[in-house]
Amino acid sequence: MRRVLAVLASSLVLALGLVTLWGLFPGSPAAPAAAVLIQLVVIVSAVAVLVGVLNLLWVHLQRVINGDPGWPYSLVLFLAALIVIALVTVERLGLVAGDQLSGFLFSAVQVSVESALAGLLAFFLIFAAARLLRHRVTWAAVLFVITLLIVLLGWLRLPALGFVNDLSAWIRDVPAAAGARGLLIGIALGAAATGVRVLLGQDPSYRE
Amino acid sequence: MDPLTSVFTLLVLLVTFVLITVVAQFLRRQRRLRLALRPIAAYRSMPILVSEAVESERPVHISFGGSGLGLESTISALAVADLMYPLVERASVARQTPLITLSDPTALGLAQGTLIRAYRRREALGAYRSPAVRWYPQGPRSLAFAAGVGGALADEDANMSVVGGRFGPEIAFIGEAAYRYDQTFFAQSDDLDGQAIAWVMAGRPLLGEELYVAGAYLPAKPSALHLSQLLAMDGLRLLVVVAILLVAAFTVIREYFVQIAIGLGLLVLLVGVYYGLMFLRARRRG
Repeated sequence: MRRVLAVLASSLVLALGLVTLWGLFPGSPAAPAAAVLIQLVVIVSAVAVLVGVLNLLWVHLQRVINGDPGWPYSLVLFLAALIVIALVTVERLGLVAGDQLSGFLFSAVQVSVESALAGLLAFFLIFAAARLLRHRVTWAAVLFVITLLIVLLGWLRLPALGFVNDLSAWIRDVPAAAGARGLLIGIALGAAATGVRVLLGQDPSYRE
Repeated sequence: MDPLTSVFTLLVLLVTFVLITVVAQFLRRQRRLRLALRPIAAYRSMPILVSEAVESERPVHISFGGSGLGLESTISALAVADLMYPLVERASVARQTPLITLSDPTALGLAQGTLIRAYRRREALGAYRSPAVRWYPQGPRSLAFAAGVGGALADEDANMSVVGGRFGPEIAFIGEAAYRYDQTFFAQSDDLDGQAIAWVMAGRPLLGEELYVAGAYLPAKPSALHLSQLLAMDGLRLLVVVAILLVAAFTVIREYFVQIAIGLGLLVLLVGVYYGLMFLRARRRG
């Protein structure tokens, strides 16, 4: 029975994958079927968000119940999530006019906290670059830090640093662009090979 | 997709398909054949660190980032699941369940399914705990996700942290948390910003397509299909390199045809004069 189910799963994946792929080509007769399948994915994604929220609440509730390290934070998260869900529900039901309260909460808490975190990001990166030279002193690491300094100085556009400005622009336009394209081509080839392997329907995950 | 891109995509997929099927068949028949894979430092140390995690009763953290099913990052999500399976299988003998984090809820099912498969393979399904997989709020550049994962790394005292898939600059927060709590950090991203930061912050970074070959490196006995995928990728890469070199050579020749012709003519003339002089000198001596 398990083997039959595995064969069925493989066949289904193979057929639906090929139909979707075929539908993406211009003028393909499979385009409507592919559109329906993609639409189904969108619906599943929407349901998955609900599952995700339930997962988040369940994990943090368990942490509170078990008294795991940092459980007070989990309690705050759990209560905050419940309050926001209740608030938005009340607003959507029309019991409160407009959505000012949830909007205010979002901009006052979420946006400001994320902005503060984004501000910290630059410092983390500078520390990381300094650490790189302490822990991994290789030619690549030294070249990386020197390039980083030149590009950062180039961004300042100081008239006194004419040569550095030109060098910075050249680094961004030529070696950095070439490296980025190389990485993207590598990722695309990897993705194509993985996709074909999955579409072959012989992946061990179908049999277990 | 415009017609030219469609034809090119189809061509690449067909070449990949042929390479994978032919090589997989060949490898299945040549069972005694041992392939010497290009060493990747991250994949060499991951199994050792998982064993250390089991011995020290500390969990292993694996993150899907923003990768999810049904989007452009689908393949990345599948690749992270491929990486996760052998690591979780190895770690399933421990009392501590691994910590799996993700920010796209469509990856929840994939992560849970992979976790169950790995535990079932080791006949340790009783040790499986569903809260091992944790979702954190999604969104592009989800700083809430990065902050949540950073906090979880501290709370759970993970031994190592493997993050792969779709990450932006927020990967820096996870790397910083891993560094602060003395956890070995492995990182990769299919996003260029994230990849650059991953390279700086990770003790052992994975570059671009290296994530997709985890199935060929991590298991003790990799399947013929995973090995053939690796060889197909290398073959395709070689084709791309040759194509780039040919196009570059052709462009240079077309652009500077006259100069190259004059240069070659001068070179032939110089060589001719040199050999002529040598010939004359040899005749005078002889």
